[in-house]
Amino acid sequence: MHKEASIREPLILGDKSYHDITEDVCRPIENDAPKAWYLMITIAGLVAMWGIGCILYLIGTGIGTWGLNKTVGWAWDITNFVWWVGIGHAGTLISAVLLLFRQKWRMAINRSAEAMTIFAVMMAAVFPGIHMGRIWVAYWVFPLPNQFGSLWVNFNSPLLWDVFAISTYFSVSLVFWYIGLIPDFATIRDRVTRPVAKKIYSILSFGWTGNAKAWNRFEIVSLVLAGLATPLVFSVHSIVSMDFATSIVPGWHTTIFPPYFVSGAVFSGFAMVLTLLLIMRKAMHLENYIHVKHVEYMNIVIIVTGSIVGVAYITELFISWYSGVEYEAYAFINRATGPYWWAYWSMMTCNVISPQLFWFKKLRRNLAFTFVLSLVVNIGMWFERFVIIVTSIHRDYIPSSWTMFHPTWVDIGVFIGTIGIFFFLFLLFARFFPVLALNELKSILKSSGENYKEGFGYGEGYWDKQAHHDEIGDAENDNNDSND
Amino acid sequence: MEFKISSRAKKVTFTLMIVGLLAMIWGIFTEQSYIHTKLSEDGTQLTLSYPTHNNGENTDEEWEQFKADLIIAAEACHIQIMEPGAHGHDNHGAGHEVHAEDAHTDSHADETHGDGHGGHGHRAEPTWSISAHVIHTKEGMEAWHHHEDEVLPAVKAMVDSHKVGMPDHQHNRFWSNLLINGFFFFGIALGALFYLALHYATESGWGAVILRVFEAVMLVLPFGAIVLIVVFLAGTLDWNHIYMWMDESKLTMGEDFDKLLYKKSGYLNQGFFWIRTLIYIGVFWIFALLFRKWSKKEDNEGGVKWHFLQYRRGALFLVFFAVFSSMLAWDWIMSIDAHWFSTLFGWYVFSGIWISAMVMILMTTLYLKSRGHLPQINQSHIHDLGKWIFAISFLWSYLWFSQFMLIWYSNIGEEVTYFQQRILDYKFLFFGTFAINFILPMVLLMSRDAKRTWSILLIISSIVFVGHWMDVYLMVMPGTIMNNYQIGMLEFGMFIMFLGIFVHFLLRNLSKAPLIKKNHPMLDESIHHDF
Repeated sequence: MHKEASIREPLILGDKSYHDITEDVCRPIENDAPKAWYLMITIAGLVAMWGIGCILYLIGTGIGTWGLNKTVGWAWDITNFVWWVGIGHAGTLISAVLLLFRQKWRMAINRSAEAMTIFAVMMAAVFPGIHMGRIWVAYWVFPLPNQFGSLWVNFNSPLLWDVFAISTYFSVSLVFWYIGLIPDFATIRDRVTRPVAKKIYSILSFGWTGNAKAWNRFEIVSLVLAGLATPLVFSVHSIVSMDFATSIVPGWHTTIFPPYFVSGAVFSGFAMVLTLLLIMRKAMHLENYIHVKHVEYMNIVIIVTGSIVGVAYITELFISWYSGVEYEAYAFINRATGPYWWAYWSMMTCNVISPQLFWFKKLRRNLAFTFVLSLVVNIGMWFERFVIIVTSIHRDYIPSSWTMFHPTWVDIGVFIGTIGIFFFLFLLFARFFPVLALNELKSILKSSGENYKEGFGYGEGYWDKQAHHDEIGDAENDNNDSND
Repeated sequence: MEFKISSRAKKVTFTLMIVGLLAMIWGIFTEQSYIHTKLSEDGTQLTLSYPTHNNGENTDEEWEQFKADLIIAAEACHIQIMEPGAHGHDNHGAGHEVHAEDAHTDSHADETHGDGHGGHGHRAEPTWSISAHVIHTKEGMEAWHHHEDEVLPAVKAMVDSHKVGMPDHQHNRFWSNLLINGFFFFGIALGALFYLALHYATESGWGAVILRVFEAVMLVLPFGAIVLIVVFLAGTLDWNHIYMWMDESKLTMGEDFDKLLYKKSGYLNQGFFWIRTLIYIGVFWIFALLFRKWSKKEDNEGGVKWHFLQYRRGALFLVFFAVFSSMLAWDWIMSIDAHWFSTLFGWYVFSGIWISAMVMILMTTLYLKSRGHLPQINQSHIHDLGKWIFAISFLWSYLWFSQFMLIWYSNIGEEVTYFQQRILDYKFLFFGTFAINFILPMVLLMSRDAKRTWSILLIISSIVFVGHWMDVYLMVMPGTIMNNYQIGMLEFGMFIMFLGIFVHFLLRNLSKAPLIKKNHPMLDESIHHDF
């Protein structure tokens, strides 16, 4: 059996049994929702409606309602797109990469992170969709055989690669998420008494029986999907970065973009996971499952990815000078000292400097501080995309066409609206779906549960001995003990 | 459990060293200067030239000797070399000693030689334009029957394949090889140090039983470091011309003035370069020694104190490493092509370092197990090491592709030269290396069984190991000796010799401490590692 070193902190606090886990996760679904939930979903719903209204107005009137101009042809639209795609990175990283790295703590957060991923990618897809102007021909982005003569997609364009990368990513994430949900839906199916709910969960759980063979298949599928999803974690944001890096625009064309965007995406994704989970664990009483250690681990991911992003910023800055290319150097000097200096320094402060505070153990284990910092990182990562996109193009090669970008109320409305839609969907998820992977969590209870680790008051290692009794009988067990 | 170097292992390492040394010496004495060959478009004229600013140390006598040698070698193949000036069907001017600037009309040649190193003043570039025809003897007519148009290419091949040439007094190829091997083996030790720190900083448990192998590999760091310092010192002393920015004449107004290098001289100057180099090496070495010291303390004293100290210092090391690994790649490797730049270069070099180190760690582990040591290491550990090799070859390939694709796609002059040169002159090696390092591990190490089968692991990782040596070769050679490259005795010998020395030190390090850490708090978890 697997052994866990005693210096590792327990991942499930308190004296929990398998049954307690089921109860704790299913309670919010089975009971009536608290007033706060209704309040929040009403607010989110109103904001979402406002956003949808803005989108409809935009589609009805045209892209001219955005603040774009001749010099700055890409601004908030693509900024928001990249921001949302970036947020959508944490889910698959947690479910796939951390699964391959055998990180047990991921089990407390993977379900909601995956849900977040799916909703975030949906929000991202909104922006290129509405940017087309004629959304009813959005299917033209796919290479479909058609009757329109030479109308065909341009395979040389990274924008088309995006279509493939993101749709693949979305499909795989969705399948991954859903496969994990099946056994948990079955658990709920077996518990609920209301006939309609029972019927719905019964359909959702695909007739899951929970026999050994089914579990065996389940684990194989999870591993295969993790293997498939891991390259996707890299490919999606790499290809998003290529939208810029394949160009010859100073500030956009730089080879470090693909890995640096991936790192930034994971960074922003984890910040959003923290924002959501720190509220959720309180609201849904999951403090025993998502506790300080989990937050600390996520904060370490924040420091690492934030610092990688920081190294990339400095590398770009240095190489722009080292290259000896005037335009390249100007693009960066303009970023830091030009009219958009405030955006650049917001980015630097939020993404590189403030996460360094997590080097202090006290701070990275402080939940309130973490919550504030997660918001700071979310804001910082929005600014990063804004800085890359707008400051690189607002002063192009002809000074007479230099200009600034001013967002209109439609720009702002659509962005705020997507945040509303996102939270609306996430609140629905939290209400009707099992927010923790409860069946997976049970698999780590005996190795990482607090009481099992501490031996129920009998001291460390007590449970191991009991477990051996159960499994291999006394005589052999005594033998083993003396060997240990 | 103690490890003693077996006499067989000693014999093997010493044989590697001696065979390598002999091959290397053989290689050094057969090095040749670079002679540029260019066939005219109609195929009737071959222009041989000798770029003085690349290897300016051959005398005129040697050039004349080369001409005479070529005539004799051609005659042996029934070819008579003609100087068109004498023949009359040439309007290339009166003399056949043309100035370099006139002879070099193809842009490719300008590109490679424009970066020329050295700078021993501007000497006229000796150029020799020839045509050739078959000697009208019975043998000659038979030998070249129906192949008359291949005569001149045959002469070109004699020069290109170094059958005829001039001795190289500057030993560019030797110094380049020294840099390649020094960096490659330094990188292996550095990669192991990085992985050790990563293992601690991420609180990994599975590898606790292999940590002593990591330590043994990382402690070979001084070997590569000393070789690198020798190469840099030789550059400073003007013994080699690997780094063109070290050449003062390019920074002062005059014929050799290079505006770009002048602009970069705030960073690329000898004083600052040496300070940085010594800081990188010093910091790495201090960390390596401290990790070893604490690891031994943990063995002797027990407790979790030393473990947590290494956890914290591991994280600190990663901070230094994050900055230094990129910078050293710029300083030591990217500055060979001093005009060129790529922001990704540091991370790309790092991924190569990492995988070479993992291969060395895996090989050492398999060796130790095959000798009956380390019974605590089971198939799951081996499987995990195999996974790392699989995963990092993806990482490397991803970074290789990102850098290549973005530069190729954008096709900006000052960036694309780097790959243009590699594709024009090194096409087979360049794409072959990528194929070997990417496709081979991807296809053959994907299955679980492959990663648990020692023979497959051994074969794949040996090939990948050489593949990553080739990767370093391709980072260095095109910038130092352009298309005058060969993979011959010199390359083979020096690699073998370095491998022998590296393994020798590695085994010695292994024998200096128990093969298993005694009091690592996750030892039990690691021994029970099974999935």
